[in-house]
Amino acid sequence: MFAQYKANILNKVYQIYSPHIKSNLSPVGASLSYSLQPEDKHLVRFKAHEQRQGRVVCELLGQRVSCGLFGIGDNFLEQYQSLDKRFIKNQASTFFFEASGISMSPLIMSGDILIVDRSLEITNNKIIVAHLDGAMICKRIYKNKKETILKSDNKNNKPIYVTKEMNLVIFGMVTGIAREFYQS
Amino acid sequence: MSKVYALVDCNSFFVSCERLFRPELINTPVGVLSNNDGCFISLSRELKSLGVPMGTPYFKVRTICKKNKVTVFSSNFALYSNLSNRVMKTLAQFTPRMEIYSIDEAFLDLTGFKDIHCYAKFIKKKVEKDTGIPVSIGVSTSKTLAKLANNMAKKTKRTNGVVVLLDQQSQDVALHNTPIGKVWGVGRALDVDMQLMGLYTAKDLRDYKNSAHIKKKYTKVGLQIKEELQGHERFTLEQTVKPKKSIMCSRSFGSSVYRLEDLRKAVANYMSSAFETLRKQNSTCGEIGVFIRTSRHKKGHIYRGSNHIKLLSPTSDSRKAVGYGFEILNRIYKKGYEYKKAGVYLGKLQQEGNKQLSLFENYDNERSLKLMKTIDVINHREGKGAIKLAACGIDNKSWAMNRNFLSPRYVSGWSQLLKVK
Repeated sequence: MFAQYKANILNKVYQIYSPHIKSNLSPVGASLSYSLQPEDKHLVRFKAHEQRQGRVVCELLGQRVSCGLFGIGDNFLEQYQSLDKRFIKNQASTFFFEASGISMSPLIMSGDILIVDRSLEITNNKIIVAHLDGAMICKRIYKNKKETILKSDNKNNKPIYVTKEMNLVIFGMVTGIAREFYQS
Repeated sequence: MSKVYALVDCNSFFVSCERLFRPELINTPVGVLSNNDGCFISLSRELKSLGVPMGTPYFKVRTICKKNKVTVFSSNFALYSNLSNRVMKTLAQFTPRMEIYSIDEAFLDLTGFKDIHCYAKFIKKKVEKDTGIPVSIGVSTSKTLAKLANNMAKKTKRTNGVVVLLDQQSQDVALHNTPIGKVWGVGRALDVDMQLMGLYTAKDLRDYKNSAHIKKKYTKVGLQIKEELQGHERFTLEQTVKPKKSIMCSRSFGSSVYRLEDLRKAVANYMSSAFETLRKQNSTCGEIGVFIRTSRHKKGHIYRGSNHIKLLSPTSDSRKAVGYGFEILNRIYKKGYEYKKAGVYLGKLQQEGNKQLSLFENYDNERSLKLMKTIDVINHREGKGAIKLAACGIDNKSWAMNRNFLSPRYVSGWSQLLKVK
């Protein structure tokens, strides 16, 4: 909607109506004018009703606005940012592990929390958590028709060539880490 | 149009949960014990083939387990409920109509979907990939048949874990090969009874001509089972959970308890736990019962005491309940006995708002309801038992359950995450 109206709305005056009395079409707040930048669309939610005499009549969604500075009021409060929502795309398939050791340093340090998503398809050179012969490990996987190799980012660690005798069970792909600098 | 129901059931669920973080245990004998490390409540295929049936007390097969390197776990319900929730969440994306039947089973309404067998295989694959829990799926035109199909999917390897019985012929074969006792709703007593009537397989029951006779002998439900076997839907999907009509909380003690003060701590804890469940389903309780008993097996000093109080006004306040619990304990406690188990029982449950008030007793006031709610919220956020009544005691060493084989809190906290090299 904003792409559509952006050209019309820039530098125009509009009146903001309360959703409760939109049938009367009498203004509640003061007339405001401001230019809409693309990032502004997150601050204001409009529902455009009609264009009259060179103006776009918009219904401000939410509560009535008692116009303060630039018409900013309560209904502009978005939710708090949530790391959960950003890092966990599929809650049912996301698990956490703790990194110990430095085989994947400097990318992953000891004590980091690994965010692992089982539902994602694993492609070459992605970091995975897997079980290999009795231990849980975190490495980059490289697979072709001939062989499967587990590589460490740390140059001091040798790559592991996985043979058929070894029991490799892949848990899932590491999509990110969480690291606290200072533990309270 | 006839319905299509799928029953998705996790394979050896508690064992599978433990195996998720211990993949080296796949294809080895594994078992999970009940509360207090009593009996086996989940067994892997390999353990079953060693001749250990479901429900075997652990102490009876200790030597067999050691000899065959069986890995034994105490129940880790924090882990199992978390993984169950993940499985159900994953299943919910495949249909808008679903019934969570138990911690590891769900019915999915797949009516109207195309290529059912393909879809079922996809569901199985997706659940296993996303959650790591292996499942079996049975599909048919009624819940009873779906359960039957699911049993086949579980038991027969070449089905690859998915059995679809949507046409007459496949249903005929399946029902012919299913003994009557394995039909959902036919328990051990009915099994014998039906066999005496000449019904040995599920097919026999389905094709029995005299429906009126079935209804007379086995009630309406018996007839419904017969009709479900015919492929007609009689048991519909229950999409909302019905609130419980009574709540019980009891545990065996890890070690013997002699003193009243220790019994009080146990009763306070069980009462708090039961009342948490009560408040979760928005009910109030009108009757409280408490029982205590000694070991059932030691001759000579056997005692079982129980009593209950009918409340004038129903309550959901743990503090009041613990008070009543102590009153009952005072009545039934006898000195000198070696107590092994205690429990509480909540009866005459009513939904909030249906309370009948009394002139004589204080009903829960606004403030106590708020307090209880706050305690529940804190415990939900910070973990079970974060905040509790003083009567519950700080240490529970005198009576706590034995859980000698408990696996770490992989998914329910931050301190015991699995470490990865």
